[in-house]
This record gives sequence, structure tokens and C-alpha cells, in this order.
Amino acid sequence: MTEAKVDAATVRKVAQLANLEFDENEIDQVTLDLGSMIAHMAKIAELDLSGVAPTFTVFDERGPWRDDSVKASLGQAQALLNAPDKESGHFLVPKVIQTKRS
Amino acid sequence: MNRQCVSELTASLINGSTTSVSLVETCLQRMEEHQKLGAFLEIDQQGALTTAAEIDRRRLENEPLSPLAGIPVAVKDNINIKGRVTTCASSMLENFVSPYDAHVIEQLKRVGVVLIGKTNMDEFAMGSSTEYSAFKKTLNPVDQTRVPGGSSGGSTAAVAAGLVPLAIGSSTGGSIRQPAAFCGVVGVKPTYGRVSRYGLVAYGSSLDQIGPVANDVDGAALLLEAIAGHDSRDSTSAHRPVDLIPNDNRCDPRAMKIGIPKAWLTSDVQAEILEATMRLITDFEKAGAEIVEIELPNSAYAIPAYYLVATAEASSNLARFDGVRYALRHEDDLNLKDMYVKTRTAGFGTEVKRRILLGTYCLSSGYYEGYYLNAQRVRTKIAEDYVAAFQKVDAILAPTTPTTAFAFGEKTTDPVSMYLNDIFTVTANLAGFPAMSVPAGFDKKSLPIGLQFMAAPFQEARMFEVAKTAETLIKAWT
Repeated sequence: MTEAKVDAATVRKVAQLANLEFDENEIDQVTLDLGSMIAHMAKIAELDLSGVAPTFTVFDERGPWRDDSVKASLGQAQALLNAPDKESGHFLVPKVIQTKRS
Repeated sequence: MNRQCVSELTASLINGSTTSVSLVETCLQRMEEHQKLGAFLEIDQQGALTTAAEIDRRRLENEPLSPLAGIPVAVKDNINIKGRVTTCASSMLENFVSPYDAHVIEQLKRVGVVLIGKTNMDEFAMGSSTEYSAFKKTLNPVDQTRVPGGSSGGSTAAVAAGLVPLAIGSSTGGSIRQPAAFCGVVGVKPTYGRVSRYGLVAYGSSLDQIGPVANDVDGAALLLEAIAGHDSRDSTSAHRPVDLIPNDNRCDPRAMKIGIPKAWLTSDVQAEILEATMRLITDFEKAGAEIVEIELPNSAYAIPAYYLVATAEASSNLARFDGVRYALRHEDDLNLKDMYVKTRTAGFGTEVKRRILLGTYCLSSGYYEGYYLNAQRVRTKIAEDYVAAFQKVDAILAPTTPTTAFAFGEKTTDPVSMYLNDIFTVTANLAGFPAMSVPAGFDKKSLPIGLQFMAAPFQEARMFEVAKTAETLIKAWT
């Protein structure tokens, strides 16, 4: 297993992947927490896992066949019920590329 | 109605000595009197009274009704009830109104249960104490200086305090059994696939199951039978006959083989919990049950494997909370990417962020195989241990938790110490088999002790028969 090394730079990189951010006051604690969690999780490296198949789901029951019939689904108004912003039946989001006005 | 069993309430409803409206009024009054417990996030007084009146009318007209008809039930706030707010105890979903009913809610409405309110929980079900709720603390009704456990702490506290006779919780790693043990009630994590997850806000999709909380084994079995069954909207929902009610004729200890994982019973477990476990083993043996020592050699790796799998799945599941389609959006003059980041940073609490980070880390390039994939391989080894064990026994008996309820703040400063509380419960989620916690007396501080029964996949009825037998044996010494 790749040796785990958790520093503030690692936390910032992972946070960016997860669309989260931590300010300077938080980063040391978060680094410490993530480090101790990963150190504990690394225990699984003790086991010989060669040739063991991973279990992604416990009971791999094959889905049954069913008629290909049209069924009601959530309507547009219902789907938009909790949208923070909407327009003409669509979710409205900020522009993808936009710089802050200052 | 102080901690009454469902069978008593149903009998009173049938013989006319009470009505559903009267039961609901009593519950509402107790909920008002015990507001300080913080068990509920939302109470649907009007809806509950309307449903109760409707059931009473149908009963008067001699309509055939389910044994659960007219019984008040509380629901954990990560399960959607159409038209009601579903917050997952997160600021992210504070104003989220469910556009549809979860499968379990459809089932409960069908049998005429009275849905009385939504219960507090750890944010997005991530926690073992309900301290991570963004909105309020829930106090353990037995000792208010202590946590009720979690993440379904609101549901177990509500049942333990006699605010409701039944509640629904959800379990990803022990979130029904652990709080049931801490509060002194019965809590069941069914076989994975037994109950549809449609309408349950996902945490770890390959681990999540919805299950019942009750004051006795029969009540839990009845509630589970009502919510179980196949649902095509959950692709992991099992096509199995739903026959979950324990048969009293099969509650004979002389025909039971009980497995004991001796290696779990060490000095790391609180002395009184060990004593209760040993006492029940002795009682079973005296009553004629066969006690079989079993080996679960990979148990030591269960916590790491569980937290790797659960957080990896959580990091993926919670990616959907980005301010586009639901509830919270950080309103500022931002571009799209900044809006995602600001919304998620403002909307999620500390523990949820920690778990998303861990999950993202172990799925990231260079770490995927060593952490995530190997955790899934450990899962296979753990499941194999149990397959072998269940060939020899009807059920495995073990403690539910290593300690009784801890104090507020005791474990929030060290995430790993909180995770270790799940040591005896996570394997049932990793390997998918059913497990439950049954109250077994109290420790020296008068805090409830919970003992756990685990059974082979889809053997809930047998597990209930063993647990009911245990319930009778335990009654003799509590």
C-alpha cells in the first residue's frame, strides 16, 4: 500500500476534490483528524488479501424481468419544489465562468 | 402509556378500551412534557390526529385492520414523508420538503400506522451519539447527562421515554442497535435487501438498512414485517417471502444452538456488560440450549474496513448536495464551482466533512487499491467468517456495545474513539446479515445494557425466536 502521509497540503488537495474548503484556523485540526483516521484504517494492510475477491454488494441477486411499461414519475413541478433557483421549468445556476465583482 | 408494548395497545384498540385518537393525544402530551429530551425535530400533530380519527372510524365500521393500525410511530428524519420536511439533521436540508413517500412510509400508511413526527439523529446518520445533529442534542431518557447513542438516537430515546411505542431508524454500521442498547429498547438491523431503501437519504448504499425500534421483540417483528418486502425502485431489494413473525412454538431453548464469539469477550468490554453476557449464556445453557464457541478471526479488521467503505460511499452519495437541486445554496456573486464549494462548506457539519474527506482520500488516485479495494476484500473475509459460523448455530450472542452510554462530549474530540464504539455492530452491515439488540439489565450506574443477536441472512424470524427466548430469561433477573 502507498505509504500514507497526511499534511495540510494533502488535506487541501482532497478538500478540493470533494468541493470543500477549510480556513487557516481549521486546517491543523482537520489534518490531525484525517491523519489519525487513516493511521487506524491502515491496519487492514496486515492482512494477506491476495486472491480475495472484493465484496461490493452483499447479496448479488439478479434483477427480475418486468414488463417494459410506462409508469408515472416525479413531475417537473415536484422535481423543482426544492430548487434554490429556477426559471422556465429548469434549475437555474450561476454562470460556469464568472469572476467576483469587486 | 408509559413504555407499553404494541400487543397491549392493539388489544386495547380492538376491545374498545381506548381509541387511536386517545393514544395519539397521550403521545402528544408526553412529547410536550418531555420536550427537553430533544427526541423530535418535527411533530405532525394535525396529520397524526386526522389519521387516528380515520382509523377509529374504520374500526367502528368493523373494517379488517392491521394489528398496527392506529398505533403512533416516529420516523427518523432521513426518511422521506411526502409534504413533510426531511432534514437529516443537517443545515444543508433544513428546508427540504419531501416530494414523495419512501417505500417504508407507503407501507406504514397502507397498514394504517399514525406517523406522528420526525426524530433527531446525527447529521446524515454519521455518528454514534446524536451529538452531530445540526439542530439539537438528544438526551438519554435514562440518564440525561449521557448521550442516547446514534445515529438513530432520537428514535430510541422517543421509545425509551414512552413518547411513542414504536419508531423507525436506519443503520449503516450500528445506528439502530447501539442507540437501542444505550436507551434500553429493542432495535433491529434487518438483512440487507429486506427493506427497500427507496426514499431513505443515502449514506453508505451497500450498508444502509431501515429497521424498527420497539419496547419488545414482538413489537419490533410486527413493525419490520410491515415495512419489509420487495420494491422495484431499489435494485438491491430482495425477492424473498416476508414471514418474519416469531413462532411461539419454536421459542424452545432446547432446540436452539447459540454461538459465542469468545474472542470478543475481553477486558476491553465493560465488566457489567461481560457479566450480563455470561449470565445469559449460562441461562440459555441451563434451559437446554446448545452453546457453541465460534471463531470470527477477521473481526479486528472490521472497523477499518467499515469506515473505509462507508466513507467512500458517503463521499460519492453526498456529492449530490451542491446547491443546484435542493434546499441550501450559498448566495453570493460566484461562479458555479465556487457556489458548490461555498454551499457544501456552509451546509455540512464537522463530522460529515471529516467522513467526506476520508472517503475522497481513499478513493483518490494512488490510494484506491490500498484502502478502498482492500477494504472490500476484507469485507469478503469477514462475510466468510460468518457464513462458516452460521452453519453451526441458529444465532450468535454477543454484547451490542463495549460500554454503556457515555457522557456528552466524551468522544467528540477524538473521532477514532467514537468509531470504536461500533466494534461489535459493523460486521452485520459489512456482511449484510440481520442483527438486533435486546435490553439486558443495567450497569452499576443504572445505565441500560444491550445484548446482540445475529443470524444468517434472511433468518430474521429465527433471530426473533432466539431473542424472545432471551427476553423471557432476562426478565427473571431484571
